[in-house]
Amino acid sequence: MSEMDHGTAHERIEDLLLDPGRLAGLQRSRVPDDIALRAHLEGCPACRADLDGWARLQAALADALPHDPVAAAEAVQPMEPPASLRARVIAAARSEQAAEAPLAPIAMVPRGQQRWLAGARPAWLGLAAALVVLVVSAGLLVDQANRLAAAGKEAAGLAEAVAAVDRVLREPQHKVVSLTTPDGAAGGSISWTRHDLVVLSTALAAPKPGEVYRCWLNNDGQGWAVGRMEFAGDTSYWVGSLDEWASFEIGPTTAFRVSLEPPGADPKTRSGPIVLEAALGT
Amino acid sequence: MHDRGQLTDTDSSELDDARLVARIAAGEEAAFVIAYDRHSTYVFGSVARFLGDREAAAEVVQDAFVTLWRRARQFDARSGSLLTWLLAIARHRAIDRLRAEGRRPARDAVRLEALVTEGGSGGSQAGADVPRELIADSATDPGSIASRRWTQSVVRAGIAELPENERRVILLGYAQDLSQAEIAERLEWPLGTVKSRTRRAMAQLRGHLAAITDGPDSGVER
Repeated sequence: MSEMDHGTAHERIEDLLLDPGRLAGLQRSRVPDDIALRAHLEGCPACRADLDGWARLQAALADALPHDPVAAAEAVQPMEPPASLRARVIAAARSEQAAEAPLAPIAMVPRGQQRWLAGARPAWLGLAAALVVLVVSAGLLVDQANRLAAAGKEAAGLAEAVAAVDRVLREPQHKVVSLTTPDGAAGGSISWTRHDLVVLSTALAAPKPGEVYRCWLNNDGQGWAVGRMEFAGDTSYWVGSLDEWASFEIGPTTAFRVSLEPPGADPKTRSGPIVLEAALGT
Repeated sequence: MHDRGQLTDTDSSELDDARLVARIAAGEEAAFVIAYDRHSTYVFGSVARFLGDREAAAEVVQDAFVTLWRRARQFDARSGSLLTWLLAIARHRAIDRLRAEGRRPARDAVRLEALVTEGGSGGSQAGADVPRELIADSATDPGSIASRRWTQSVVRAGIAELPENERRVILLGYAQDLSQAEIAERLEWPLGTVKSRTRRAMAQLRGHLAAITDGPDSGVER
């Protein structure tokens, strides 16, 4: 029997999908195409993962649908949200925005100079000064603008982290643990509630170009990539929401880890060394 | 919000999750509205089925979208789709709500039990091979009950999103265990039409239910 190639295997899997029983019976089937598919699957992790995904979907479909035809049809009737919900959601987001909007910056001008600035300054003086600044420092301004934008982004990120820490600490159920480096030194802290998780550290050196400090949640040897550390000056931070890993519950053996990943590393597989770690289950 | 400008229709249909959420993170209300229009029906359908309460579901959906607005910067398209992210947030909120209701006296606790007996658990193929002791464990563990109920709700919402003809072949295949030939005979459609509609339906469901079908293997730390 000739070996089944990748494309044929996928076609065969698609055929098996058509009837739930056929996929389930693949392992016992004596049909030559099924035997060839089984042989292909043994040496092809990608096709095996694909088949497993389809099998999980079929199991989920079978589990979700009542066998009574009327009940099944009712269970999958389209269900539209209330028409008013759209406006409510937009209004709620706007009010969120309003609540978090920063106050307009206030110029810090010595009291004695305020009167001069308001009345005594000749109009042409301001214009001339502006022109001089514009001409002389046009090149510098571009560079400054880029630096300011980067600094603004860093500041915004750090402000978000601080706001998240505030939010966590306001929750009565919050927890805080220390991060440690591989040699046992203090490396920062993690504070979290059921919804938020905030990591702050001053122990990490800025990564080299292409390198990334990646964050992992680990349970019993299995880990999930959950994000990457951001930097604002010497402070590195990461703000996450446990909402994003709905199937993940922090248990007695849960650990949070930060690894330093080399350039081009697969973001879902840890290949670099652990540089920070904390046990969340303690 | 920083920018309430309107995106054109072309923009809205072409924006993938990553670009859409990047615009939301930048404060673009128009992008936020596109995300709502794109995903609210699915999220609402899942939560309403899970909670059995449309008004409570609307509150959860509102909460999920406001969370998207507030935390858009945290979205990572490599970890999953925006729909998966929204569903994960909604699931957390909905289970919290259910737990809060569970602390009330018996009348509401009964609802949790009803969650298991309702649906396809009775004679479904998936349940048939599960050892009895595992069924007993999952039937008494509120976390497992809620988790299974959530999966059922999301799957049902996914089927509800399918075009009518595709929904019919899935219902006949999985609720009534009919073969493709039997479905063709029942609906008086050519067998090829039944097959192509089943394939399209399965592909759409696989895309929407990635969080369920792709399992915990992705992202495994080694």
